[in-house]
Amino acid sequence: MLLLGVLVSASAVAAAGSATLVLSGVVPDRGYTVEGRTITPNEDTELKVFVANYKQTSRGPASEYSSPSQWTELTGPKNLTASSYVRVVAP
Amino acid sequence: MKKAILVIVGLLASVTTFAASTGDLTISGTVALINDIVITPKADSTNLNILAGNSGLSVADVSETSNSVTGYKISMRSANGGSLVNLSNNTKSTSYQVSYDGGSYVSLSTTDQVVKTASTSALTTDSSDVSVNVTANPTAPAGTYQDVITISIASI
Repeated sequence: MLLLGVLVSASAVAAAGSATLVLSGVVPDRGYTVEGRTITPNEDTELKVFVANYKQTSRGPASEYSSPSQWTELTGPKNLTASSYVRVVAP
Repeated sequence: MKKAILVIVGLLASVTTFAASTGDLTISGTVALINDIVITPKADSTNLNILAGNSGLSVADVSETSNSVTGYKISMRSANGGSLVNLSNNTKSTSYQVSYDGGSYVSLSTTDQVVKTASTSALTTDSSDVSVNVTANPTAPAGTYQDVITISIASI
């Protein structure tokens, strides 16, 4: 009787089927977005994100805010506007 | 001597009579047990929205085939205990719940959890939908978030 029980059990296990289903989603590696959207530094990124108000000059925005002291480092989400200027640098 | 011969003849006659009166013949056939499962994933299964979440998203169809005389059960388990985990940093994740064949949404663990039982009177094939609710994680860091669900069929 014991042997019969073992055989029945083994047969049931062998006949049982199984299969796997992979679920996944991707969060894009994006340090900043465009005007009208929200900028959010990634938690694990090694990049620092700075933002300053854009002011068009004859020399262009990059030279206008060439001094790091004029940039504010982002530590959380920020809504960008048409006057926002974003700079991403490696520390 | 004559008496002994008569006794022997009598015994033989008795044995012959007994062997001819009845006999059994056993005939049988076996139907092998079938418990098969086939998963057909949908495109959305690998395009989950980690940042905004998903609600009632159908991710797969499952075909169940069984001829178990006692019926069958479907079990599910999750490699990550019901979480979609960042492949580059397993401390970053978001949870999800799953519904099987229109049943209630449940959180999976790493051990088998019965999500459906069915009775069968003959070889039966049934199709079931798998849907998920993904919890939004708007501050999730970049990367691919993944989990593997194992779906099993077995006799009850």
